[in-house]
Amino acid sequence: MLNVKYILLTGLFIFCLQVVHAKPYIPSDNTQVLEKLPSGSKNLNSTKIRKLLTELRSNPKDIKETISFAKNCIELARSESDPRYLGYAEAVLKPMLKKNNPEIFVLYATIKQSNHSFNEALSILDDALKIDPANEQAWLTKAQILTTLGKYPEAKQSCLHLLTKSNQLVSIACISSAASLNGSADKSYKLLEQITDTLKNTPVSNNEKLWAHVLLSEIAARKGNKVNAKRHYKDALSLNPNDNYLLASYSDFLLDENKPGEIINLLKDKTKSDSLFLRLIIAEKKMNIPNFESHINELKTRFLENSKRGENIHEREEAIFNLDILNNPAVALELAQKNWEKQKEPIDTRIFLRSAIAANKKNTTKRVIEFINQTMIEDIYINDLAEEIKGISK
Amino acid sequence: MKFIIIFLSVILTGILYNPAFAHKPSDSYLTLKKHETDPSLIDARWDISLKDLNFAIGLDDNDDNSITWGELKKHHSQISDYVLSFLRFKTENSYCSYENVEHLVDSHSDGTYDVIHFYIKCPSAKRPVKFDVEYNLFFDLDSSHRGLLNIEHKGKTLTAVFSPEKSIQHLDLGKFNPWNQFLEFTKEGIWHIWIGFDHILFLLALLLPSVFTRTENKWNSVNNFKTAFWNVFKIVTAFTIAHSITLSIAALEIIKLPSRLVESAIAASVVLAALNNIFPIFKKGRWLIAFLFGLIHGFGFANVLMDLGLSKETLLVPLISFNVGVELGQLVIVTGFLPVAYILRDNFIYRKVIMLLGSLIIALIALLWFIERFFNLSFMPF
Repeated sequence: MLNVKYILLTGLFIFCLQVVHAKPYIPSDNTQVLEKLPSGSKNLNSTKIRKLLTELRSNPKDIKETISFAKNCIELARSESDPRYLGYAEAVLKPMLKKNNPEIFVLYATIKQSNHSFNEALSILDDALKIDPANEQAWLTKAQILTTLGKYPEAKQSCLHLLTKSNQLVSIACISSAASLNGSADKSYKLLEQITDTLKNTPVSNNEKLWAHVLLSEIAARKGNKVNAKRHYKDALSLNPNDNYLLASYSDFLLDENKPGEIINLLKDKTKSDSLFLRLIIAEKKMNIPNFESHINELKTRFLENSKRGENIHEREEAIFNLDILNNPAVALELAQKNWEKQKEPIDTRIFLRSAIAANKKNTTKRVIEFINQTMIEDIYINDLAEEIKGISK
Repeated sequence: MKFIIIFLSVILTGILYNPAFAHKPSDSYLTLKKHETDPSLIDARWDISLKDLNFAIGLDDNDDNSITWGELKKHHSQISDYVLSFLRFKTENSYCSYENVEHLVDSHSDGTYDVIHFYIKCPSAKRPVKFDVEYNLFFDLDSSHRGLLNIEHKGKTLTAVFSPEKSIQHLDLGKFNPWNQFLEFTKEGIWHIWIGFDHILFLLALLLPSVFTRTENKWNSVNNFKTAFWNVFKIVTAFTIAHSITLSIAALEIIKLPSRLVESAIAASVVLAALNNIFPIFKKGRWLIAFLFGLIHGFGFANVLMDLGLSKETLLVPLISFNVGVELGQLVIVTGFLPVAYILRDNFIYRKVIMLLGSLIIALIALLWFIERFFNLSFMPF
C-alpha cells in the first residue's frame, strides 16, 4: 500500500516539476553545451554562412558575392526550416536593391513571399521582369504567388512564359498547379503525370521532381483518389523525406484518412516547425497520447511569442489550432477570415468553412462560396462543406 | 537528482517530456523595471539568442557547431561591448550610461539566450518618466530581427517592438493608470465566479447544510441566525484563504499543474462535497473540506489568470484585484442564499428536495464534468 501511495505522490511531483518555469542561471560546467547550431550539410552550414558573411563584409558592394550569400542563406533556411537565415539574406539584399539587378530582385521577392508579404513580392518581381522579361525564376515565383492568392488565370498566364524556356517539367507543373484548382483537375493530373513519367530518368533536379509528385498527390487527394495520392506521396518521400512542405501536405492527407498513428511516426522528430508541430499535436490528441497537453502549451507559447513581434503570418495555423485543439470555433473563424484575406489555398478555404460551420456563422462565408463557384475548385472536402453551408442557408 | 526524476517520469508516464525547440525569426527581449532600492536606476534584463550572437560576432570558437558555456564566457565582455553599443537611452537631450553588467543564460522557445543584466543610470537624479530608446541591434545583419521591449511599471506592462523601420521609441510612463487595471481584473474575477458553475456548485454544496447541525445522525435546524451565519462565514473564509494561497502560488509559477489535472480535481471536489450532504462523513468542520478543496480551486483560478496573458513579474495588482472580484462574486451568492435557506430550514421542501435531491443533482453534474475533463471528451453544454 505504501508503495502505491509513494508512486502516486512521486508521479504528481514529477508532473509539477516538468512544467516549472526556468529562471536565468549561471551554468557550472564549462563544457556544458548551451546551443546546437544548425549543422546543415558539409557544404552548407552555419560556419560556412559566417565565412561567406566575413568575405562579403570586406567587399559589401559586390553583386556576385551578395547573391551567393543570399542564395546560400535561403537554401539553409529551407533545408533547416529556420527563418533566421531569411532575415540574414534580406539584410544583405536590401541595400543592394538600388542596383536594379533582376536576380537580386527575385531573391528579395522570394523572401517577401516567405514572409507572406505577397503584394510587395509581386511588385518587386514586376520590377525584375521590366529589366529582364525572360527571367524564368521571376515568372515562376510570380505564378506561385498568384496561385496562393487564388488568382488562377493570371497565374497560368505567368506560367506560359516558361513554356518556351524552362524545362518541360517546371512549366507543366506551374500550369497544373493553377489549372487543377481552376476547373481542370483531371486534365492537369494527366498531363503532369505523363511528363513526370517520361522524365523519370532524365537529369531533372530532385526538387523539381519532388514538387511534381506533391502536386500530383494533392490533385489526386482533392479528387478523392486516395490510392494515387498515396503513391505519389511515397514517391515524393523517397526523393526527400525531410521536405517541410511535403510532410505537412502528407500529414493533412493522413489526417483525412484518419491515420493519426502514421502522422506521429512521420513527425515525432519534426517539432521545430510550427506547422508540422501543429499536425503532430492534432494526431496526438486523436490518439490521446499521454502528456500531449504539454505540447499544446508549448505551441501556445510559440504563437504568443510570434504575436509579440506584431506580425501575423501564422493565422492559418492558429485558426486550425483553435478549432481542432482548443475547441474554440469563434476565435478560429476570426483568424481564418483574416488569413483568407491574405491567402486562398485550399487549406485556407477549408479552415474558413469548417470554422464558420462550427461557430454557426454561415453568413460569413458568402464571399468564400462565391470564390468556390467562380474558380470551380474540385476538392471533395471543400465541395462537401460548401454543400453543407448551402443546405443550412436554405 | 534531475536525472532520477527524468528517469522516473519515463517509467511513470510512459513518455519522456522533451521540450521541443521551435524555429522562429530572431527576437531579443528587453525588460525594464525600477531598481529595488536605488531610485535613480533602471533595472534592465536583455535576452539575446546565442544563435544571433554567434552569427554577429562568432562564439563557436572550435567550429564544432555547438556553443558551450566555456566558449560563451570567453566572449562575455565582447558581447557586452557589442550589443550595448546598439542600445541608447536618452532623457532630456542627454544619454544614459550602463552599470554592473553581468551575464546569465536562460532558454526560450527557440533555444538558449544570453541574459545580460545591467542597470541604466540617467543624468537626472530621479528615475526618468519620459525617455527615448534607440535600438539597432542586428538590424544590419538580419532584417527580420525584432527587439521586444517590456516595461514593468506600477504593476502594468508596457510593450513596444523595435524593427529596422521603427528603431526609436518615445516612452512616457506618466500615462499609466494602475487603478483601471485594478477594476478590469476585479471584473474578470466576478465574471469568472459567475460563469464558473463548478465553483458555484461547490460553494452551494457546502452551504446547503449550514442551516443545520448534525446531531444523533440527523440534520437538526439551527436555533438562531447567528449559528447559521457563523457556519457560512467559516466555510467561505476557509475557501477564500485556501484558494488565495494556491492562486498566488500558481500565478507566481512556483508550482504549475496541468490544467486537465486541476479541472478534473475540481469536478471531483464538487462530487465529494455534494455526496457528503447525503452520506455525511465529515459531520462537523465542513470548513476543513472547504479549505482543502479550496486549494484545488485556486489552481483553476490561476489558469484563468494566466490565460489573460500576464507575466509573473507584473502579477501583483492583477492577482489581488482578481481575488477581490472572486470574493465579491461569492459574497453575492452567499447573501442571496443564506436568508432564504434560514427561513426555509424547517420546511420539507428544503430538507428533502433542495438539500438531498439538490445535492444528488450537483453530484451527478460534477461526475459528468469529471468524466468529460479527465478523459478529454466534450459532451457537457456548460
